[in-house]
Amino acid sequence: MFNRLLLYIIVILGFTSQLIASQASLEDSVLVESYAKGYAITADKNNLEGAEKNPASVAFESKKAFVFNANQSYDASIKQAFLGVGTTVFNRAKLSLTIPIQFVDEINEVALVNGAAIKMGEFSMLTIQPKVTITLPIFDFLDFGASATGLFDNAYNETAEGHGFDFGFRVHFDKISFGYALQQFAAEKLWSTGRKESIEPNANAGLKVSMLKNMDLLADVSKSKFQDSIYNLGSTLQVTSKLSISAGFRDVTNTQQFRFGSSLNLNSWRVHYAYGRHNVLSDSHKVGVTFEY
Amino acid sequence: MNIKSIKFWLITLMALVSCVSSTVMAAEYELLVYKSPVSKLNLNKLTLSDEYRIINTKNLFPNKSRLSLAKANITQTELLLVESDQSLEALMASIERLDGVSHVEPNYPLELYADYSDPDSYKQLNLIKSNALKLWALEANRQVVVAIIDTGIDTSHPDLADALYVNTNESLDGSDNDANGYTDDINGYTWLNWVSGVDHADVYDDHGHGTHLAGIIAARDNNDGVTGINPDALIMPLKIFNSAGKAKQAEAALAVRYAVDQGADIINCSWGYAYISTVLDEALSYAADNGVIVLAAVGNASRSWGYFPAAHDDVIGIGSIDENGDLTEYSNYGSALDYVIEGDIYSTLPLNKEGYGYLRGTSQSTAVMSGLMSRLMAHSTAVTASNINGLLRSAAPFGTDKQLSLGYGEVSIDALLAEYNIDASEEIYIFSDDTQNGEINSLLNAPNPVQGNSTTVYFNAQESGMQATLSLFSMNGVLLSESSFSTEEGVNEQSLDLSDLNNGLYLYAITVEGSSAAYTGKCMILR
Repeated sequence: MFNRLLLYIIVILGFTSQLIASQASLEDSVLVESYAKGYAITADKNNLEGAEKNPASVAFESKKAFVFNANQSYDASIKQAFLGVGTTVFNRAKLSLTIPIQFVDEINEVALVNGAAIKMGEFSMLTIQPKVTITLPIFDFLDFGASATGLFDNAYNETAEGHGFDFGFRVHFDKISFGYALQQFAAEKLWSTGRKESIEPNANAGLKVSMLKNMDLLADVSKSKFQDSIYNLGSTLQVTSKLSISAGFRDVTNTQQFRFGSSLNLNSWRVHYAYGRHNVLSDSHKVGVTFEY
Repeated sequence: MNIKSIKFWLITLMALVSCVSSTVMAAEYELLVYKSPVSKLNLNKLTLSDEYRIINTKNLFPNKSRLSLAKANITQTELLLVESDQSLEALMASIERLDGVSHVEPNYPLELYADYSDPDSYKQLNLIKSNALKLWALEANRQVVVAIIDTGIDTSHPDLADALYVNTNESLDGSDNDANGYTDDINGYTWLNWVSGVDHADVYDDHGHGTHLAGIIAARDNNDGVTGINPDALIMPLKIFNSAGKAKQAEAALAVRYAVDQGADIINCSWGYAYISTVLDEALSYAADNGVIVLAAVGNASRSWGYFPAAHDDVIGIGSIDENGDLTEYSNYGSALDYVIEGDIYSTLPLNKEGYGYLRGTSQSTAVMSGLMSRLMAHSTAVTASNINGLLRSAAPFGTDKQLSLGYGEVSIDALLAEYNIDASEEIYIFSDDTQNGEINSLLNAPNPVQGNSTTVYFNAQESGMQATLSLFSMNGVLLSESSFSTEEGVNEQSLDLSDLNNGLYLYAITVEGSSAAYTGKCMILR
């Protein structure tokens, strides 16, 4: 069995090494807890937020879970929200629906007049990417996950509809975990302008190491065709049973986005805050709440 | 049942059939009845005729005596709603035989001259290509009132709410405070099926055509939606078209006279018909006699026949050209055509019709010219109805030799601006974003949205020789590309390559070496 599993891993890795990618999903912009970890979460257990990177990483302790995030990135005209519900099925699998939403307004409509730029007005863009995810424990040490995502955009009186699929697995032992996810597989989007776009897949591979008593170290890498590899680092420290803090770096080699955040456990409720600093773009603040029942 | 009884029921049945058939045959007509100057004929007092039944009559000039009408060269006119089983011609002949009637006309219909355009036509941005927005360079020294006789406007639209003309002599109290014959006409007035009493002060646009024209002319410069050619103009909405786009000429004549009497500077008529009634003809002359400019669309039938009111001697007729300067396939032409300009335009629509959208036609071209003329009049009080045509002709290619297909041609905005010693090549047209100050300001990219594989980032630099970097990011902040350059003082341009990217929104930023500030913008790819 282990040999067969290894073969599957090699096949998938070999396949994705040929793949290319471009930005299509909202990724970490809609997240809070995972955002604070530098989005280095491919190998981590991530509550409902995990669906946004590795469908095998969706995990919650109770039978059902709910999450709501409200975010602002870089400036007040970029707003995100993340809604998610999850339930346990067949006593061990997790079925979840997550809905990332991004709304950006104050986008200039500009035209050229004899070489001069004239602002005609402003418009906005709305992006919604609902995702259904199933996370299935195959063995005690192996979780498999798959997602189906709807892609919807509305901008400048034009709309787009599309779909994509994510697959991932997570191998976890006592002190170490490994995760791998292929996002936006067979993804495509049709715009009302008539343009049909194939969205290239994005491959993520990550490692989690549990150190000391309550500390996790996270690292992962993402690769796509038109982008250099993106390396992320993160860590989480469970300070008390009620309080955990996280910090990380997103895109270590380029934009070096420093993040930190904290989560407060209040019985079934958990409240999260995250801050991000971009070396060029301005700061981001994100808040969220999760509820398990 | 005996024979007598059968006969009785047969006769009764025949009478009923006859009655029903005559009812079915009867039709309603609206007729304009013109009376001789001395006529004292009162159509309301006509007795029931075998040939027709008068349902209602309304005097178009109820507050004017026969003498004052004669002095003003206005024909006594009544609008008659009549039912008859005669043909229209026979009915008109019957009424014309009445003593005191000079002639009778149908209350001719009117047609709007606009269609929804190609959904991809945002790529054309013809209002920009026509350079009409360069007229913003002319400072507005007064608020010109443009009466739009059309389908009304959405007065709650954020781009138009502040553009409404206000009749300061009227108040909303159910009374005719200014004694002009119209109650509560604070922003304008509506005449729909006037002879049946459907007229009121609510000018709401349940069609969309009028709101679109209003945006082209006067949408406010408020960082919301679009901006009109003269964002300082005031719009007087006069509604004569119903939600189905139907109107008639008696109502149009009343609206023209109302616009003149209430102080409009320009009247925009983006509609017309192949025939003109006397009452509308006289109303248009009344406007000219009072120094009010009337512009009218020549029509979208691709014909050389002059449609009214564009073909009226006192009206400036406007047609449509494409981006190559050729007459569009739909625009009428011929002697009624005076000027041409592009007419496929993104503008305001009622909020319940998505708020903004594209319409095209000679209607839209006419609104562009109304905006253009209103801006000229706003800038200089020396520009009047009597000399504006000369000014426009001096800036048009065929100003001394009117062409059948293009009239005097397309008015050159650059030439108009030159009349006011404004060099159109100056950088005064670059949008200034006051929210960003520092080494770099007025940052934006054009075009945006981007349909091609690149866009140009424009910005003003305070000094030359600054080492700067232009970076492109995904919305997640991931760096996609960057390039370094040295600034020049004043306007700078940097090309941004987008060839490998999908449709969507991206962030770009300019950073200056030695400074922590970053100047950011949003670039939308929409192919």
